[in-house]
Amino acid sequence: MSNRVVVTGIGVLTPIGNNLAEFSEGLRAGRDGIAPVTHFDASKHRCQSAGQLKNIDFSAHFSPEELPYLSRGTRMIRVAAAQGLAASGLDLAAEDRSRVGVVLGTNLGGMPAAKEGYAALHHPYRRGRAGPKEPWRALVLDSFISAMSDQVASQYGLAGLSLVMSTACSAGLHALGVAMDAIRSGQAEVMLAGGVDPLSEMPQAGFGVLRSLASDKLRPFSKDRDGTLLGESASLWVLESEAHATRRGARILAELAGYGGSTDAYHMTRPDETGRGPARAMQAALDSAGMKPEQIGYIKAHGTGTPANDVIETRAIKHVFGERTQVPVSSIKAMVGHSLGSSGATEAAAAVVALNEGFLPPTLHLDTPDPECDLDYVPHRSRPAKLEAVLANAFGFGGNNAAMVFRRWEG
Amino acid sequence: MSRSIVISGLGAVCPRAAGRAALWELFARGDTGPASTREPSVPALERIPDATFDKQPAQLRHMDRLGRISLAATTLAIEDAGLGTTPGDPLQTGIAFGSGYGCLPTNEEYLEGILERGARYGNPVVFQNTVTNAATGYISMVHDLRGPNATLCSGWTAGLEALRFGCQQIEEGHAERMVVGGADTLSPRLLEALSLQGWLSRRGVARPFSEASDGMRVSEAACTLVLEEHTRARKRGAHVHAEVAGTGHRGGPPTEQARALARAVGDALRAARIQPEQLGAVFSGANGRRDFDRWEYRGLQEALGAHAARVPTTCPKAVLGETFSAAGTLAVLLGALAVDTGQVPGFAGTTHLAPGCQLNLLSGAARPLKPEWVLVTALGGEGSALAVVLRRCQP
Repeated sequence: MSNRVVVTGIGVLTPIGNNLAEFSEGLRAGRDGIAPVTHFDASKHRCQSAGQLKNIDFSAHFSPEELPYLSRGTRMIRVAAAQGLAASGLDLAAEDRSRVGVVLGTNLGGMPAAKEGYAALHHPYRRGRAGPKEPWRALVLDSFISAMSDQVASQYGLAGLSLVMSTACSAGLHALGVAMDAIRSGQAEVMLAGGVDPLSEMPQAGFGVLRSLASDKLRPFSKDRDGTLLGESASLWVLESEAHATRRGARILAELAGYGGSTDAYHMTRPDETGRGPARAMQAALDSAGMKPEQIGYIKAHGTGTPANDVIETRAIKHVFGERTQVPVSSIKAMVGHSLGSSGATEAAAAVVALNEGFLPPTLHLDTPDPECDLDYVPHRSRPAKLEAVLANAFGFGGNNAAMVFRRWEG
Repeated sequence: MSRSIVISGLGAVCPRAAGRAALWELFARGDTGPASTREPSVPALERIPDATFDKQPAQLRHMDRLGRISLAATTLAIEDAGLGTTPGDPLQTGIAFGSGYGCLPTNEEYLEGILERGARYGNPVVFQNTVTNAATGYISMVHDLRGPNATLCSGWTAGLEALRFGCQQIEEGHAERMVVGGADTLSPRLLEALSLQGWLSRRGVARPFSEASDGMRVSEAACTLVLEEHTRARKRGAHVHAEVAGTGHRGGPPTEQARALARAVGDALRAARIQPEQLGAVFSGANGRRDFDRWEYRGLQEALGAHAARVPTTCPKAVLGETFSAAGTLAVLLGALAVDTGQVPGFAGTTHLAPGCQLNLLSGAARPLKPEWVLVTALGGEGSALAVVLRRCQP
C-alpha cells in the first residue's frame, strides 16, 4: 500500500452527543436519543418520534448577521467541521489549500425541516416581496443539496475537489471512501469528508406512509422489530496521508484501511434477499485493506430495524465471515435514529470510538431474539473489547452498498 | 493517465434532439431555437418531449422525470457502444451519474402533496424518488450494472465529476467499464429561483461572450457516455470516438472561479502531457451570463496564455442552453464527435464580442479543423471547475 490514509480528527453532532467525547460517552452508556419530534408539528404524522439534536444553540456558533442565511444542514456541518478541524490540530493556514478537498454525503442537504419552511422558501406568493437583503434568496441557494460541500470549502478557503455524494443512506460512507481514494491516488494529502442530514418532514411523512417507521421503539435485530426511526446528524472527518500526519506530529485516531462498494441491481427500495450485494461491498472493503475476515473484531452494522434489512444484513455478514462467525455486530440506530445520507459517516465514528476506547457499542431494545438474526448483537449494554480492526456498513435505496475497514493505529 | 481510457458510447436527450446524430446535426446547424417574442418575468419550461420515453418498460412507470431522461440517454449510449442491452460482465460495469439539482423537482412534488393533503397522504410512489440516486438505481436494474455505483450532486459540474469518478474506477481496477453521465430536470420553482438570481436571459437566447448577452437560457437534458479501456474496446471491435487524455477538478470560493478553472485546465493539460498550443479546439462552458462568461474567459486566458486568443473556441450552450450537470457531458460528447469527425461547429451570435474579450470564437457552419486535442470546460458557478482534454484515437 503506497499511501496509507489516517483519521486525525472527527467532529460529530448526534442526538446523543454534540461532540466526539459526548457521543462516545452516550455509546458507552447506551443512551437512547429518540424523543418526540419538536422541529415540526408531527401530530398528523404516523410516527411522532425521531432522534433530534439536543441542547444545540447555533447562535453560539454563528454571528447574528450570518445565521439567518444558513440552512439547518449548513449550520450542522459547519459546526461539525469546526470541531473536526480543531480536534485534528491541522493548521490550514500552513497547508496548500488548493489541494485540500471536501467530500460530503447527504440526502436532503439544506432542505427546510418543516413543510412550512419549504412553503416560505418556494411558494410563488413570495414573488416580488424579496428585496436584495432578505435572507431567503440566499437560503434558496443554500437549500440545494450541492450547497453542503461548497459551504465548508468556502468557509475554509479549500480549493481542492468539492463533492457531494447523494447515494441515499450509504452516501456518508461513500464520501469517506471517495476521500480515501483521493489521498491514496496522490490527488490530495488532506481531505475533509463526512455527512450531514437534518431531520425533515419529508422523509418522516414518506417513510411513515411506507409503514417503515417503528410503532414505538427502534429494535434492531429483534424479532418484534417493526421499522426504523429517523434521526439527524452531521460528522466531519479530517483524513490525511500517513506521511502528512506524521510529518506534522498529528495524533492519529485510526487508519482508514479499506473501502468497498457494490450495487444490488435488484429493486428500488427492497434489498436483494440473498444479501450478495452487501456481502460484495464488505469483501471489497476487506480486499482493499488487504485483510481477512478473522482480523475484524467488530462490525458496526447498518441495522435499520426494518424486518428486511436486519435479516439480509445478517445473511450478508455470514457470506463473508462464515455461517458460525462469532464476530460481535451492533446497530447504534436505536440510540441515534437513522440519519439517512449522514448515517454512514456519522455512525462510522462509533466504529472508531469502539476501536480507540476499547468497548463495543450496544444494540438497544433487542428484547426478543429472532431465529433468523442469530449473531452476537451486543444487546442492551456496551461491553469491553480489545479491537485491532473494525468494519462499518451502510446500505441505501437503489441497492447501493458501502463498507469500510478501520484499523487501530499503533504509530 | 496510466491506462488509456476511451469513450465508446454516446447518448443524449434534449428538448430538440435525441441521440448523438440528431444532437450533432442540431449543434452543427447552430440552431438556437425560437426566441421569446415577449419578455416574461420567468421563461417557459424547455422540456424533453414525453414521446422520448415511450419505449421504456412499463414496469418502470414509477420512475420520476430525472430517472426517465437519465435512462433514455443511457440506453442510447449503451446501444451506441454496440453493447446491446447489457454491457458485458455486470460485476465489472459500474455507473456514475451527476445531477446539479437532483431530485429537487420530485421533492417539490412530494412536499406540495403533503402541504395540500396532510402528512399521512403523501404519495409513496413519488417518495421513493426523493433520493437523487433513484435514477442510477433504476438504470443499474434495467441494464444490470453491478459494479461501482455513485451519484454526485455537487452542482453544475456534477456530470463531469461523474466522468472523472468513472475514469478513476477504471484506472484503479474497480471496474472494466463505466457508464457515466449527467442529467437535470426543470421545475417551476427551480426556474423561479434561477430567475430571481437575475441569471436568465429575458429574450430567451444565450449569447456567450457577446456584448449583447443578457443571461442564460435553461433547458432539461441528460447525457451518458460509455468509458472503457482502449485495448478492451479495440478487442471487441468497438468504434472509439475519443480518448479521455486528462481531467482536472478544482474548487474554491465563489469569488475565485476563474482561478479554479485555470487550475483545473492546467491539471488536465498536465495529465494529458501537452502544451496549450497543441489544443486544436475548445468547447467552452460559457452560457451567456455575464459574470459566468467573465470567469470562463479569465480562466481560459490564465491557463492557455496567448493561445487562448488563437485556439478556435465554440460554445455548445449557445445552442443547447444551460443544462447544468448535463452540460459538461454534452460538451464532451460534442468534443468527442469533433475529434472523431474532424469537424468543429460554430454558433450564432458571435459578431460583437464583449469589451476586452479576445477569443477566436467560431461562428456559422462546421469547419474541417481536424483537431487532435480538444479541451472541454465546465464551471459550477459556486466555486467548482472541471476540465477535460480529449484526444483523437488513431484508427
